[in-house]
Amino acid sequence: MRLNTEWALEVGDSVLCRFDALPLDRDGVRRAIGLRPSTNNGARWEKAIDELEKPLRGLARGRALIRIEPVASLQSRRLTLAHGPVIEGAVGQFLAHSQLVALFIATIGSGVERLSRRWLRNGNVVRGLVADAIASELAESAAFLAQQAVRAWALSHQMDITPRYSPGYCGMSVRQQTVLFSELPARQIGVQLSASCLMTPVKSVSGIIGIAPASQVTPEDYPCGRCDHPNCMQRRVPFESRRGSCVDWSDCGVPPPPTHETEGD
Amino acid sequence: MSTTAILESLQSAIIDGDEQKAPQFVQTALADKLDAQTILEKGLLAGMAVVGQRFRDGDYFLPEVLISAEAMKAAMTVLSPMLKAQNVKARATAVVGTVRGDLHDIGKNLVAIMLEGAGFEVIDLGVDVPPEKFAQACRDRKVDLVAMSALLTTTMPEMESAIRMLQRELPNPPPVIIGGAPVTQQYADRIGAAGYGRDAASGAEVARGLCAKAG
Repeated sequence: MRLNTEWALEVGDSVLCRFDALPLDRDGVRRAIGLRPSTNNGARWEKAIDELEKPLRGLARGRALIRIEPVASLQSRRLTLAHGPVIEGAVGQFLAHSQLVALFIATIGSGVERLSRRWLRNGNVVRGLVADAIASELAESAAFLAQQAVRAWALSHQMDITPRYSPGYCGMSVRQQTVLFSELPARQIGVQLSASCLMTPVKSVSGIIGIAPASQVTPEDYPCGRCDHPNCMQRRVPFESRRGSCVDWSDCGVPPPPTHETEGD
Repeated sequence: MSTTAILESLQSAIIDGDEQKAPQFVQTALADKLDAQTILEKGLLAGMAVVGQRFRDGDYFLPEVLISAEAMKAAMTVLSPMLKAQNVKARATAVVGTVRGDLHDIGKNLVAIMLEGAGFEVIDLGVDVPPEKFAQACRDRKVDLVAMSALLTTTMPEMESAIRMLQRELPNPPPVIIGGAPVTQQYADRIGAAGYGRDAASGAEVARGLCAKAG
């Protein structure tokens, strides 16, 4: 398997990207912890975020593997790559119009999650939870940067990308991870797949990004552009708009939405 | 400072989540010759009970509850050796674990911390726990409650497998509570779990209620 570490995406190559400085969405960290403007002792949580942001960003090792492959055929539940592998799931909706797909695995390594575990074990709840939330956001950043790298390549070829679609979400079995891991040299970035198809380090993100002619890619046409699931990070529609979801939440692998009655309606 | 004032100050330190003052007041109480069980019951657990009540009333949310749990944990580092020396037993024993196939542990760790804050002795089996291991832990010790966690729809069915195994293998299986991102009360009812925790704090509340009923 050829590995290109110079960031030059090419069809058929596995490319290793290193992200030296991962951006951190502090609002995302606050959301993950459950902080509200009215939180008692909120200052303690904010102080912990302030103290930990820099060292944890320094500890995170942002890496991604990306591989672009041509699509041989795309049916509603089945995507066949030109060189043979098959990916099953709601691909017809999530990757509609794709002529190529980018397979990717992004991670921040295990340093931050190990620290978070140690703090929680020692009863340092605030630091442990803040570290876990920061790690989740940094992993999202690594995945976002991988997505941006694919988008830059797509735009330079008069194409654009679909939202990413990950095993374990919205009708794609987590077992489809095995296809991604057979196509990418995951060990190069220290990511392994368990027997139950979960990744270690846990703070890793994998998925498929569709690449389609720019004129055919309209974000609202894809399920994530229409879904208002309140707990999904890929949601593009504000939950407050309550347009109704286009997907079956019971099948989508993210926390179920709260009932509207408990949301203070 | 009177005994009542010391215990009230300790309760306040727990309610406010003051991790500096809580262990200091435990030390003051010990210096005042209060026995460890009284400090635990009337200081720490009484404070956590108020925190639980505020959580149920909607005045406290998870971040506030966790800050209090941290203060409780800091106080327990001072009190635990005395509890051991005076042979004071925990209110109840709980086994916690993330079910087979699932490697996510943040929720499970928070539940363990909250259960300790509610006076439980916690046996943490870790992640990727097969049903046999839950059953074995219940055979090895007198266990009052089992708490299972799963983060994925794909690993949720392991909760049902573990509950079935406990029912099959143990003459008096302890009640099981379940929680985790995709888990709902309806799912808990469907698989025969005794309780469901929407988050770590409500999980500890449910656990306390179940053990109080049984005890």
